[in-house]
Amino acid sequence: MKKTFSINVAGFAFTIDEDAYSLLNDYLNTIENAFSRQEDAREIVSDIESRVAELLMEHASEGSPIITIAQVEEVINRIGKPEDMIEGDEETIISETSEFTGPTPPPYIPPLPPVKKKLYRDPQNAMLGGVCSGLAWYLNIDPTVVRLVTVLLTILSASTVGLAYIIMWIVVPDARTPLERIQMMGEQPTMENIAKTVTGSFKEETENVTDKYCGNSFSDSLATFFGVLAKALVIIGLIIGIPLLVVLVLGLLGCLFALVMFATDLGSAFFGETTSFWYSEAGSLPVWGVLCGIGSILVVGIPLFILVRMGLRKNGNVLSKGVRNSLVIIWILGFVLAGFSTGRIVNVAHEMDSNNFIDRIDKIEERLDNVDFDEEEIVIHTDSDPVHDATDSTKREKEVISITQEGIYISTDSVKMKIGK
Amino acid sequence: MTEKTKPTDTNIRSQMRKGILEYCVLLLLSRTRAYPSDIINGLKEADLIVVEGTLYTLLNRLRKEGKLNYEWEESPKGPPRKYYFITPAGEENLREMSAAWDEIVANVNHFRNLKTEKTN
Repeated sequence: MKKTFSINVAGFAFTIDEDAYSLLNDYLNTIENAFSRQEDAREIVSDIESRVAELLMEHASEGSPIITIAQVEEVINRIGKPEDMIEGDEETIISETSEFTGPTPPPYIPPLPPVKKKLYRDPQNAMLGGVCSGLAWYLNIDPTVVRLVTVLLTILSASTVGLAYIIMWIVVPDARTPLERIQMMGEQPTMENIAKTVTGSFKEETENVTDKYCGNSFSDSLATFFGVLAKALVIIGLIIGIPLLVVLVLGLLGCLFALVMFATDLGSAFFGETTSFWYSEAGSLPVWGVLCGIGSILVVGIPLFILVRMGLRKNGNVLSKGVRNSLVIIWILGFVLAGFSTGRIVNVAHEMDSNNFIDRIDKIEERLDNVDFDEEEIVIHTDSDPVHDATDSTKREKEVISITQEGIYISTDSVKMKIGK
Repeated sequence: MTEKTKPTDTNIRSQMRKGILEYCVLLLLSRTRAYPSDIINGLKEADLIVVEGTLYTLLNRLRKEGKLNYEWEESPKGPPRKYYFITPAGEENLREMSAAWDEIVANVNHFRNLKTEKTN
């Protein structure tokens, strides 16, 4: 069983089976390439095409309506290989093999079977190391999709996937030669495809060549050394930076969550009455947390971004001056923001620590063990037994009564009230 | 095995053929206008062409040199065909070539006859 195609050759319609089609297609492409240096290439090719159509038409009217590979081969033998057609001084001397009265001319050599697809990195379409674009060729899907999935998985997997990326970067070879590129793309190594990859990589190749031959060997090896160093630094930076960034993003999300919880009625549903908390100093923590998160993400993220962009491209100046300057300014702002908000958090936390009743009560209870009521402060701790709380129906919070020289205070987690002298 | 011993012979023939192909195409077209497949059939009858593709490059060159031209003509089946015909410049060129050919044949025959006389 074979697939058939309907094709149009020079205005004639044919039904042709799959392998006959690919042979014919390759043949016509080869001719087109061979004549591409000549002025009237298009015309000659279309003339030959109409001759092909005519010959195939003869076959079609004689026998089976479907054109097979044998018929295509016969047509190709009649019309000849491109090298036999081109007029020139020496090269057109018709080789012995195509002698008309001799043995049957050699058949047109069909193109090599499709190469086995191999996994390569694609440095020409690389954002980072070309792992994603290489993988995209291998899986035959859009590289952007692969990149998005990779980034998403990196975040979700706490950068395990990021680590896998780096390992693949090191282990998987990059496709440099045209053949490797074709293996990467999984295309047939036809003249056309090779030409495609060669012209595609031509620019890069020439750049490489000028890079290579314009310097002496010392600066070469120096460049290689710094190249390796830069790559190593980038890898280390990524290993440290990506998890750090993930933690920071998670922290930021936590703070945002807390902020939303306390800022809306949602908070009270979960935590009971929160307004008192909200107006206390502890209530400002999520706000500072969010600011600190944003600041530190900028502080870590911007160098990471620049590292990735600059360390991996051969030409260093990938960022325009404007972008670079604004990144520097944003980084400084992020640094200030992170520093300031961290300071505030430490401050609030310190205050909260000094207001931390349980800690203090533990200490005071220790001191109460050897009670000396001449002490300036006596604290009575009343929260542990819910039965006692029941007597005071309005208060459900932990409650501490403290007696100091200044007066008698009743305090809960969030408020401290003077109740007497 | 005879083929193995033939290369030189083949080369001579193919070179001769190549040399006279242009002349023969012009001759053919000076008698009648024709489209490439007609020309190919005519040349094949005379064993003058090996691969058909050669003709297309030749026709293209002759047209560029102004010796031939073509016009499109409807065909009984399929799309229109290019019918080639010889131009006045081509006829002029053909006359020169015919003169040259006669001269060559005469010279070659002279030597062939010379050879025959000697061996006899």
